[in-house]
Amino acid sequence: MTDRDDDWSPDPPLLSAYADGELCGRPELDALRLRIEAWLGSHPEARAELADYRQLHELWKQTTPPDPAGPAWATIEARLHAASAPRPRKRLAVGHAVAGILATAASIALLLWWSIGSRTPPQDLEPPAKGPAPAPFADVEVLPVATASEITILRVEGADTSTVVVGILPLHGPLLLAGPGDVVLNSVQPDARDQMVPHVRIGGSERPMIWAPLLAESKVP
Amino acid sequence: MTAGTDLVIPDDDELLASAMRGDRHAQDELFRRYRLVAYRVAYRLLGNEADALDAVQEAFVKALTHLPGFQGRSTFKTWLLRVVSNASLDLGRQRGRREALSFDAMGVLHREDVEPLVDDTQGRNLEREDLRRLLRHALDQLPPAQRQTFVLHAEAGLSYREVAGTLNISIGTVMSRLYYARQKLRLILEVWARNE
Repeated sequence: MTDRDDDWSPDPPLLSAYADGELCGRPELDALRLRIEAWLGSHPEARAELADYRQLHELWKQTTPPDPAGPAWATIEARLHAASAPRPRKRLAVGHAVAGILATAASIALLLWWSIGSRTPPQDLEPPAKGPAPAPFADVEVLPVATASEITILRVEGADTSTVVVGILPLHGPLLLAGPGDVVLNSVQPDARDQMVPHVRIGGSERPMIWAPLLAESKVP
Repeated sequence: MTAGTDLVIPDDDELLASAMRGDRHAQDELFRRYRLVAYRVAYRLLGNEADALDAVQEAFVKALTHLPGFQGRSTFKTWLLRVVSNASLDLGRQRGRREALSFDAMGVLHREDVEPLVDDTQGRNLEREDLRRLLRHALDQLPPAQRQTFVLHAEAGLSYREVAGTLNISIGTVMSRLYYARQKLRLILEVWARNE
């Protein structure tokens, strides 16, 4: 085993996925699964964490919600039928009235158009369009746009970002962005380059993390 | 005695095709096939039977009336569960069901300071309803996206890939959400166990 192997440890979410059996039955992940199992052999604290996961899973199973009372499903089914039933047609008399109004409106519109058209000199009219009008953005290339949740940052170089990166650069692998409450700030030490490099601890170990620059910081002279 | 007839159970695709054409029997069968998992997901997100049934009804009405828009990029089950879980979160927000449960002690807890999760003895001594209520309170403390992800995985039994497809997020995001959800649930349950 090399020094590199000695230093290796699975990301906690990866360990969580291992506990969920997500690495099983996938030959392409066999090597990773075996590596995690070997690592677990010498890390009792991680084994205890997996035991906690299993306990949580057991607790979850014990509390499966009770099935609803008997008539509940029949009631919902009846409501679904009512919702999907075709709506009754409106009475014929109403239909006739609407048709009459529409016909009157169309007649008035036709009369107005004829009246205005007859007073407009023919030379002011635009020539009729020949063929379909061109699409307004026909010559613009359409680019697919991804949302934030569809993007995973795999590597961050030190000079690639103006944000403050915590961890040893360059960062490899998926970056886990923690939210408030996930982070314990131990200390904040000024750095010669960016003057603000927090040391972050999550679950007892230091993890890579990206901090968005604070608005307040940018206003400091 | 006559020869028995073969009972052919249509698969989801066949049912979907029929339901899209307006076949009420197919729609009913889809409802019966998935109502329980839909209900359990809604119950976990809402915490009581009445609200869960409301969410299930609303979700099925939406799903069945929008069947022609279903493009088959996911299974009907995962599509339905997305509708159900979104309807549940919306309903929860509308009804302001979040109960005030203080876990102020969480802020000062460190992972290494706490005892292991609820031990078996405590688990056995708790009534099931108490356990359910405890877990519901714990779930309520999670951000909605984590709660939805966790419930779809733990209750509906969706794989990471299926959860990713259901919520239109990456598998990495599923991993991350599940990890943080578990960490928070453990902390909350540990606080409870300490106070017992």
